Amino acid sequence: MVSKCHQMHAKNEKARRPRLTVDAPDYVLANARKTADRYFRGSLSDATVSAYAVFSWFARQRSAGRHVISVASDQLPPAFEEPMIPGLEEAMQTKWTWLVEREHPWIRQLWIKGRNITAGSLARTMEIEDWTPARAAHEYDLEVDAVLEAVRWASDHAGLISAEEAENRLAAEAAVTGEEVVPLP
Amino acid sequence: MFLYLDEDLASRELTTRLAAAGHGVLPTLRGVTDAAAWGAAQENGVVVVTQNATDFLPLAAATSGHRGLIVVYREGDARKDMQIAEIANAIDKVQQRLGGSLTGMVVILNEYR
Repeated sequence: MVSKCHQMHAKNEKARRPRLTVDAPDYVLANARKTADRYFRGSLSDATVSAYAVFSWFARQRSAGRHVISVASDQLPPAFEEPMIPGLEEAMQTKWTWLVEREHPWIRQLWIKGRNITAGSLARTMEIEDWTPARAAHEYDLEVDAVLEAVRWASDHAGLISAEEAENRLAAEAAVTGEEVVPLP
Repeated sequence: MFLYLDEDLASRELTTRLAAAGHGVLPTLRGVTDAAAWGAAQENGVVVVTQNATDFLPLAAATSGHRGLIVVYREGDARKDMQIAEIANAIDKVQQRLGGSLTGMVVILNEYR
């Protein structure tokens, strides 16, 4: 149990945390926000602190004369040091809590469980409207975690999402030009 | 115009904008198939608004005298895609140009932006 005194102390500690301000181009901020949304529940602070921790680890390794390389899982050397990054490890999981596969004639994206909304459509709408995950959750009555999971999935499947959007676009354009649309069986 | 928003278009913001512009918006059914959503819209005599051209165009083609279908498609570039405010404005333009009834019609909304 956490005492009230300790809670107040923790609150004061938090209040005293210094703020970090940086000058950066818009695209850096946009990328940082994407990273925060994908791996750190939208927290830019956590993303920044984690990024600096990784850089520090990298610098320490290099200063010690060690190599920092990437190898396939089946080619790992006998001894190595590997950084574990909270947020990233969770994001790397392939089991989804809020997303499901669904049988559909042409859509291969994952869907929000219990809803007729694909992960890609939700993520694209957020991109178009510049919505935060919390805003998107409010707009569609979803859990924020469901939105975050959809964004994470969409980030890894941009090609599939684009292809399925293109399929829709072709169907709509065919309607404009009066090409025959074959009814569903 | 009386409308049914397909589920991935049924955000609070678009619903609110359309209602504020004087359109009637039927509550969207959640988690139902496209055919069920289409059927509900026909039973209630409302125009379906969807981003899913591939599945709804055949439904419209198979329904004689349907109440109308409005399709919005993604341009393949988020910077060019229609925002919610543009979608609401374009639906107003559709009503101004075509009237309140879209019976038997398919409208590609991107052409009204």
